[in-house]
Amino acid sequence: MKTLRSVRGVSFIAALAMAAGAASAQPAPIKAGQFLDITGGGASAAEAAKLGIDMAVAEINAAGGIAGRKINMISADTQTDPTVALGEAKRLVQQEKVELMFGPVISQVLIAVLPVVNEAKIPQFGATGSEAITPQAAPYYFSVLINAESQAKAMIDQAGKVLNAKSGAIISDSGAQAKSFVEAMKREMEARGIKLTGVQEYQYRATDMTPQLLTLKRGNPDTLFLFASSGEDAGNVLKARDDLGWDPKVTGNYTVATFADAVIRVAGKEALHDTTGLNYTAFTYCDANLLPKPFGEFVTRAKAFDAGKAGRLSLPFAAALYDGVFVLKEGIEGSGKTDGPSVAAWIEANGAKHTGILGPLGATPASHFLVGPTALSAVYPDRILPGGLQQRFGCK
Amino acid sequence: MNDLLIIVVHGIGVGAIFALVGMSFNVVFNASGILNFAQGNMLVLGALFAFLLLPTQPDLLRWFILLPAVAIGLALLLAVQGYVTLLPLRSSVEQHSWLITTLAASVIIGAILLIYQGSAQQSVRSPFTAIRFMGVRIPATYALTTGLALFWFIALHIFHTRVLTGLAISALSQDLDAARAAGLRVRRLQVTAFAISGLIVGSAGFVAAPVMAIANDSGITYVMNGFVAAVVGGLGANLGALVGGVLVGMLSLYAAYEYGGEFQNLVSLALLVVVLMVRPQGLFGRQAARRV
Amino acid sequence: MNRVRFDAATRLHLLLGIIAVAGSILLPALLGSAYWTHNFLIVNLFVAVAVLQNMLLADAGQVSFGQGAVFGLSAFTVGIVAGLWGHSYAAGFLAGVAMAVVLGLLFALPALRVQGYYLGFVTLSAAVVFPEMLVAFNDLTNGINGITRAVPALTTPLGLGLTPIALMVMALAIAALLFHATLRATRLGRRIRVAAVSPEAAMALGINPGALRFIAFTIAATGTGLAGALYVPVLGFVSPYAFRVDLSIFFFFSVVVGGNGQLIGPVIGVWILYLVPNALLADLANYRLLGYGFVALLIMLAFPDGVVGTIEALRRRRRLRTQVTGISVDRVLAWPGARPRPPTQGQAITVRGVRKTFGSLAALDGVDLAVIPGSVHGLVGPNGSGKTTLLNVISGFIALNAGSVAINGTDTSRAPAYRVARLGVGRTFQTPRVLEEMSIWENLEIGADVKGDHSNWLLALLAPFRTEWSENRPDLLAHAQRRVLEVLRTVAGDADILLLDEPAAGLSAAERRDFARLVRFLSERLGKTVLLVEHDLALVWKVADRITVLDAGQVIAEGPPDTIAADPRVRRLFIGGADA
Repeated sequence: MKTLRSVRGVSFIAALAMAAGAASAQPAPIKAGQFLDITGGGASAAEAAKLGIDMAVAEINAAGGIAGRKINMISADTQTDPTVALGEAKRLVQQEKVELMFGPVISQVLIAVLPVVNEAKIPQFGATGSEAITPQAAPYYFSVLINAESQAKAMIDQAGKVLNAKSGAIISDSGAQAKSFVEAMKREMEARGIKLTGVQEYQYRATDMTPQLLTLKRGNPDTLFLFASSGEDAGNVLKARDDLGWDPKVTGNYTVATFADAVIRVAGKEALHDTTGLNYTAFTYCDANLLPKPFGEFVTRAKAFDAGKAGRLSLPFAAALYDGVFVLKEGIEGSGKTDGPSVAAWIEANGAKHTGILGPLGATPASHFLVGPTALSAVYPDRILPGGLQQRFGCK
Repeated sequence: MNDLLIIVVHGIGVGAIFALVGMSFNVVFNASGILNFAQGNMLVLGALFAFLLLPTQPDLLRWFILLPAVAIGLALLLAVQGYVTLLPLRSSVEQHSWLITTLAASVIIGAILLIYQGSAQQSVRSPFTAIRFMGVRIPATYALTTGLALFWFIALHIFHTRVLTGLAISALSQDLDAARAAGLRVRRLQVTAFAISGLIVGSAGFVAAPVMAIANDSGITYVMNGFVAAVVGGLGANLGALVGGVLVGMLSLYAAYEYGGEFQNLVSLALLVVVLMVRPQGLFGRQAARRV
Repeated sequence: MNRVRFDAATRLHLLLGIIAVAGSILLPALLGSAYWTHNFLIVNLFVAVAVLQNMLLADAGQVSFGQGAVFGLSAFTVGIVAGLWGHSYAAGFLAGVAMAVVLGLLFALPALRVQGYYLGFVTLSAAVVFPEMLVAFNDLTNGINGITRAVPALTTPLGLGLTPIALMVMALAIAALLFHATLRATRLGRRIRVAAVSPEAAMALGINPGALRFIAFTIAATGTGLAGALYVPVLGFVSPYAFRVDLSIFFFFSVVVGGNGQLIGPVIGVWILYLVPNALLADLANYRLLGYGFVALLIMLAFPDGVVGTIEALRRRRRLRTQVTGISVDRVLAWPGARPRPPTQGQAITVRGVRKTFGSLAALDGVDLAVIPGSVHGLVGPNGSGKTTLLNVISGFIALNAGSVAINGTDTSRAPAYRVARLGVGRTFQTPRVLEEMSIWENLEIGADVKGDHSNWLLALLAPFRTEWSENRPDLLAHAQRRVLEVLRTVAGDADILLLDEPAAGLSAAERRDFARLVRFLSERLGKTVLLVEHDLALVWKVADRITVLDAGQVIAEGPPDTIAADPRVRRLFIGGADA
């Protein structure tokens, strides 16, 4: 019953604040819900997301808030369970009366709470990948994730145009993202006339991928499409490839690039030969003398903000979520309103002018994925500058 | 054919870890009838110690010194856990309480790992060089886990047949009431059994660390497969755990090879169900799982 | 069918349980708290499932770690039928419950083969595989993306913040509690419990334990399916993420933490296990699991029998000091009525050439036996002569290797024990199968349940003690009284033939005299046929009409007591006194 009491307390404070507001004209803080999958299956992504969001909120508050209103953040853990998530969404929206929401990182969690956030018209962003989350289903929600479909398109570009591969095999974990990746990849391969020689999957956090690779080896593909959800998983796949003395070119996904340090910890740097990954173009470089600034600065600030977490979490992912908070800020300040329809319309119309870490955004009334396949580049995972920037494939 | 041989070798290596967890289940089960579901996370703790204490550069001497140290550390921890688990059983007719207390212990270990390292997964690089076998590299760790499983199988056999404490613990598995009537200090023996299971999982976790995922939520895989190994082999029978573990290891890798990775978990559960239906006491078990 | 009566503890549990359910639904609605309304809708859905899990575990003795899969299957079926296929919610609801029952029946199949935790592991496997199956069959289930299906008709408030779905959830949880309490007071409920605690006693009472396991699983699956079908309107969305194995474990734990078998236990268990981590510790984020682990651990240390179980045990311990009125043989013998002895032609029990071996040892080696209806027939012999084995063969507990057995002319050589019992054969055991988990009165009632006749003369005769014996368990009775209770249980079942296995063991001289009178009464006044295995030869010679002497699995003498006493072979066998 603690929260019942705190509700009454909150409304009392709100009344005081209103009285105070009338006297001093200090604008009331803007309430934002941090709606993340802190425990359960979404935990590893959510932890990086939390770092990015916490940083953004701290910086925005230090600089005076959104439209002059400080952000008052209220946290919720969905436990990656739709049943719990719906209760938490109701707490944030109907009880705490938040005006904005940051998160989640798991599609199924968002789908479960859509009736609540849609009804309240809450501007929201998260890092979900499901194509089922369309602007019709979630009109006030944007995703900063490069979804599985975009990754498949970018990877097939790399394999087909650059490597000139005629055949490929797919290996992925068994998660939701991976499943939609495999579907998308099959479609893309058929469209490009690249022969699919085999599909295999492994459990998240498996350590021995030998049997899977043995199966795929039988098909003798030109390239191996690797969709991993953790750097350790990717490392174990690459290690098994070397242990078997098999050397197909590996066209890896976003994880292979951005968790390259974990890949190296597991498999050693030598295991990354003939391997590419994907990264946001904004987080890559070609000429070491011409480096993009914003991401490097973000990394420095992240280390100052929480050195421990910055050392082990995916900073590109954190940066994407960090930028998401700024996107909502721009939407509110640009439209001058905090309701979902106004903010969403503004972001759809003006996203291309965004100047944050992610660079120009691709949201339209037809798609609320802020980052599309064109914003991705294939990279050498092992060529990382101290700031975290990775060198694009083909650059010297 | 080559492929199958590689699968078999890997299967034995992976299965040996399950067999070790299975034997650690058996030791506690024989003494107390309890299945300690914290065993999976205890194994992960053993591996975590390897991660924390081993230097990044291979150092064999340190490895050999730390192996018994970590095993003893886990033995102490399990003795404490065993004592706490046995507390409610003393005063109670409720025989399900250990399910909660052992799982609670497991949850607490997982939660501490979560607080300590978030959802990150740690990995350890083996100080031993891989073995070349038919043109492929086999991780040396698989040879070590297989050796360790055999070592503990023999050690437990000697302990239960030649050592006084071991004989007393065996007596508990035969007839608890009779053992109590004969003046055996039942609680102390049961706590000792927990400690011995700690030696097993502690050493297993330390040795197997290079092929393990050291994370807050990876214990479940090991406890599940170790448990299937113990039940398939016959609860209480260490030979069963040894055979069961290797069976589970090989079958799951073979299923991944032949039918796809999505069947890896399925096949060990299917094995569990089939064995329970056809031979409820397990392959080598003597305890009757069946009542009228 | 007699009127259902609840004892004081049951009434208290029911009252508190209903207050908790109704209050937790009504109060947040009236206060207008959407968050607490939602939380308690979930809690009370889970309460309904946990109450049935409690019935399954405590009453039926079936360990299922798979109830979450039953719940999820129902919910997902509703999602598929009413969401993906576009049928009405009502159609989905029916399909969901039907699928849940099918899965419940599938769980009952392994229960015929394995029991205890082994059964738990089989069902656990199903619970582990279930969400993976949902993903694997994504053509049918929409896989990992889940299914959105709102039921606006049920979620639109009727007034005072109450929605139809809230009232339905409240009704379901209360109905589950009332059902469980009522079931325990009925013939079916008692028989389910007997089958769980003592399959032998159950079969002796004509119960087929396997059939009752099926019934228990079906009941639990039906209620769990109802709850699962209501989950869809509460959430408006189903996804494999919601039905992981954790959910099944949660239901089981709720029962244990609340107190296994305690009527209100699941309510307390669900409240603690759902609200503590999800509401009280929600703000702790990473520390939530740690808090949860410690809360679960500390509760089991402080309340080893579960919260309610431990409190009830304390209450019972205080009451234990009081005495309970014993069962008086005199009172039974004072029954004024009488039943005609059956005609003495024909044979109540016919055993011909029965052979039973255990390994290489022949426990029975060509035994013939004929028991005259309405007589008391003694069966004596030294230890290991095969007396109890013969009793087990006659009552169907042991399959014979050769020969035949007939009861009142009906061949029962191959019949299972419960079928023999249904022919009117009641029996007692060397160690009395008195059911400790039931009240003394219920121990008598389960006898009467055999024929479903609760207005019989014996219960009527003992009716003055009903209230007292309903509140107390047989552990308050002295040893001799437990023997009498077991015999009266078979009498209450109106068995024509009673097989008594060493009924006088451990009785004092005075108690033996009483017991002898009881046996004569059974035969002379009630017309029962009694086959009596007994070491106390004096007692046998006093009450038996005829005696059969067994040695090493063979009949060595048969006849009236006087003739047998004079037989030199028998004298040699029992040399050194009458009390062999």
